[in-house]
Amino acid sequence: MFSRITSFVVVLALVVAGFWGYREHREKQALLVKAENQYQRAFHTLSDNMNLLQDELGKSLAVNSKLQATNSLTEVWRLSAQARSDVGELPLSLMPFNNTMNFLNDVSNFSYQVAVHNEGNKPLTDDQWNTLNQMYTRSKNLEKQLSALQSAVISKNLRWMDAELALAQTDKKTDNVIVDGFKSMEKQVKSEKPLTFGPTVTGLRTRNATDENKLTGNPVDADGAAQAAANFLGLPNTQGVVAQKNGSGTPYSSYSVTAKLPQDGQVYLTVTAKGGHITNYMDNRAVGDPRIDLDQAGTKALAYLKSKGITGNTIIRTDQYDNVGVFEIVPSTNGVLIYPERTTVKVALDTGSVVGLVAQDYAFNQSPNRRIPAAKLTEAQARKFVSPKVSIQETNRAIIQDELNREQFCYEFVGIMDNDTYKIYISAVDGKEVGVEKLKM
Amino acid sequence: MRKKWRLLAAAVTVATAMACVAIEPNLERSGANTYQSAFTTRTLVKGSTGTDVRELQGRLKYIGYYKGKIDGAFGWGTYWAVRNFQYKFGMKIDGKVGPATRTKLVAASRGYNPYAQGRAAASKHTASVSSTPTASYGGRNVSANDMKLISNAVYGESRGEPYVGQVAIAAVILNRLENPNFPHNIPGIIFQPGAFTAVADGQIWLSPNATAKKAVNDAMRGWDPSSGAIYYFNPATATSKWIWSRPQIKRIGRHIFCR
Repeated sequence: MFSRITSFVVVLALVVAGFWGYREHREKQALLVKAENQYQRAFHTLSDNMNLLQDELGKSLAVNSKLQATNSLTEVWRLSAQARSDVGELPLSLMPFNNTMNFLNDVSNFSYQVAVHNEGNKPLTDDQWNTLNQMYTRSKNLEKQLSALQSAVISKNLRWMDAELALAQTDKKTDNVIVDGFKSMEKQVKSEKPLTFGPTVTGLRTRNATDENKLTGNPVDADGAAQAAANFLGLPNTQGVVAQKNGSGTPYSSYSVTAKLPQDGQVYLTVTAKGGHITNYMDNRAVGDPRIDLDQAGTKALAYLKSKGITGNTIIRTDQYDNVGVFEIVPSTNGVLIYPERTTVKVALDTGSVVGLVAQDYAFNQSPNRRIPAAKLTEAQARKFVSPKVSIQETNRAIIQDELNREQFCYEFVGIMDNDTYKIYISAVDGKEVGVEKLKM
Repeated sequence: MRKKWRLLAAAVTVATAMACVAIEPNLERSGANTYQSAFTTRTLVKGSTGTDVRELQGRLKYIGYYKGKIDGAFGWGTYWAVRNFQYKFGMKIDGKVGPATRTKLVAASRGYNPYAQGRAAASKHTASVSSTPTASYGGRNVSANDMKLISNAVYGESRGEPYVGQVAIAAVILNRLENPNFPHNIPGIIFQPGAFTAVADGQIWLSPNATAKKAVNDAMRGWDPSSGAIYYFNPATATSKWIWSRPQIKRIGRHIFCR
């Protein structure tokens, strides 16, 4: 009697568990298929885009008129950006693919410069044609490999989920067709000689690179970096100041320095290896309720820069969060704002002491006897290049860096259109538009 | 029985109506009598936030100088309104609201009463400033929602790490923006498959704490304790051999930062 009930219950439980397990399994399968399809979509789109990309590169080589080349090159620009974005949706972040990504980025930058920013609507020069031709050949090779891989994926039912698993277990030797396919593509791009570009594209590439030759002073060792930090912080000696050389991966060689301030505790600095300049300073002490306002804090920030021997007298941006005020400051010499020599100062609003400094731009770009070129345009002439729909509120003269990292002498027009504020930079030398910024906050 | 109820209902209605009539003008009057300006003694400049900025915007709007939202954040719109006001009233045009401008403005906007105008926005109880304003990083504007995504990622990836370590992780995400190997937008970087463990295991959806948000704010304004890193990993748990081959920069807390 008893055993009968028990066995009935057991059987029922088994049936229920089995049914539940089956349903779980089906749901999991459905999710896996969904995830797989996302990867498949990105992969096949990538292949499509590479195919179109080399078509358009070919077309731009075939025509000689500027107008048609521009049409194709604009397509090249769009498709190469799209291809990069497709790669970003694939689980390739755990394997080296940077050479291929760099290649796509170069294609994108080059086509943008030639098609969109071409000065004077000239047809392609011989150099440009050659670069384009190399890009065409290389992208053709890439495309060939990619479409071979694509056929394999379709005919052999290869799954990206397996590729992802294979990539995650790098301790074992993998023989996943997808992974190997992408690895061989990367290998091929890596083996090719770097493309040669004119100065404009090279400039785009090195936009955020920092050129150590621009730093003043002699190389310092760890003791020198500690001494520079101690001097900066106003400490009597380097006791408790620890400087550690950063590894080789940094954009410029530098030391990470920690020090203890008597009242604030641990502070962190970055000191350049050449010249011992402070580029980054952080003091993370707890900040109490604000007792001074942003206006007073701004004055403190300017006084601080002066006390550290850093030039900077014009606040160009102010904002506030968590009881600190943050000020972006540039020097203004003879009424010209020098944006490349920008510093950022953080002031604690409780005591008004400075708890942070970013001076990387300043360290790399400051030059005490900077020459301001003569303006060839008057303010009124430059103003004509700004849309009449913008009501201009303020005009300054400024030196800014354009997108190729070149310094340009400009008129800065600050104006309102539709309740939004814009900063428009018109070159004072040739009247070209150097940049537009929409200001938020 | 039924009649009784009806009578009661009528009585209640009449009473309520009377109360309303009696109270309403009273409310308005008391509002007008007791409304004091929410200005404080501090000088307001572009970048200031708070109840006094609401007051400033409310008053400028009342007299037609300001057309934007009353959000308690002194932005460019407020700045131009203040300058216009200073210009029209023959004052020094500096866009700052110090004692002189404040006094002039209170005098010029006599009759301004946020309660009478039914503008709940000016209530002292909702004085806190609305959402974080957008910020800009390297000349590009980053939306408030993208900043929230970064805070989520920072919190999911590095809660329990020292504060500098958290700023460093926010900086790594921002350093990727300009790097050719990564997508050129914040969501693309954060949701790139396999890029962040916190995204893969769902920890990114934990609500970030104030520290993580502060770390993102610092990184957005240029503080980079990672010294330009674009990768980091936890040596105790990293499974990828490839990540060890990247040139290393430094170690902060449990993470090694590399290029």
